[in-house]
Amino acid sequence: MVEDEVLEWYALSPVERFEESLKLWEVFVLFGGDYDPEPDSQSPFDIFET
Amino acid sequence: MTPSPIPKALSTFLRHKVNALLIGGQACILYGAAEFSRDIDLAVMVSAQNLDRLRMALEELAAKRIFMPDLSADVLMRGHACHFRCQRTDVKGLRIDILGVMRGLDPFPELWERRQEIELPEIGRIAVMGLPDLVKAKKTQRDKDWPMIRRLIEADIYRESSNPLQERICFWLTECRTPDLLISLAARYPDIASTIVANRPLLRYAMEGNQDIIQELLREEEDRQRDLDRQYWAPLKAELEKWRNENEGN
Repeated sequence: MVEDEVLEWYALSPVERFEESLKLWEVFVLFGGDYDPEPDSQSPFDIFET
Repeated sequence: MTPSPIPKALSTFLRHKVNALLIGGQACILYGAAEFSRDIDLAVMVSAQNLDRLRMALEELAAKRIFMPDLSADVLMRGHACHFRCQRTDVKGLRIDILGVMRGLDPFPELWERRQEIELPEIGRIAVMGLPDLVKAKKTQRDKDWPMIRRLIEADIYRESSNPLQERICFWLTECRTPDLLISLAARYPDIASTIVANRPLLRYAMEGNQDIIQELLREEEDRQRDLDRQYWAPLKAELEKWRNENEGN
């Protein structure tokens, strides 16, 4: 079963979702979010940072 | 308040008329499968003119390469990705990944024909990889991509289920990864499901309502694609390691 919160997200338009995701950026920065992706040993690029 | 650098970067690519399709996390947000992504992934048309435009856009963002290899038509056409980090103050730190070809996907001109265009306020009309192509692109060896595929399809079914075209129903029956939704799709569209079952045997069990076997067969589908992705990347990873060793030797 899909949760109500997820259904609400699905029901938004693409533009609304994009705008909501931009708002999350402020939270991301506030909590010291890192621009680099989480380490992912399954990624083909995991070991190649110069 | 720190504004997201994403709109500035996207509008820069648009202003330089880079022929590119938005893929990855940002595309997943637009289609409803993700809530947040910290980077930008683009599939680009690999041509001399387009790569010149791309380089100009990257230069404007003061984007520096962070992984091997350097951006070139040759490496993009061989399947490598080129990775950048922006240095300009208002987009500082933002990661941008560029791809030219992807495993299992058609050449860029065909992907471009199937693109979705979305008008984003204060950015412009962004070209996004079509949903069926994005789903194929997400069939990788990484755990995190598989729940994303499931949500891409769920979101599409949720939005479009009132009066879907046959093509869309076929897409759902071919790609859906949620057992209870597969059962309900097979019950609602048994004739279409029957035509697809030869290509996707688990639909037989969806028609029978057997959720346990569906789950097992979904896992087999996933494992098969993960293996194919690992095989695809093996020579590319070897090449990357060779370049990195050469780079460290210099």
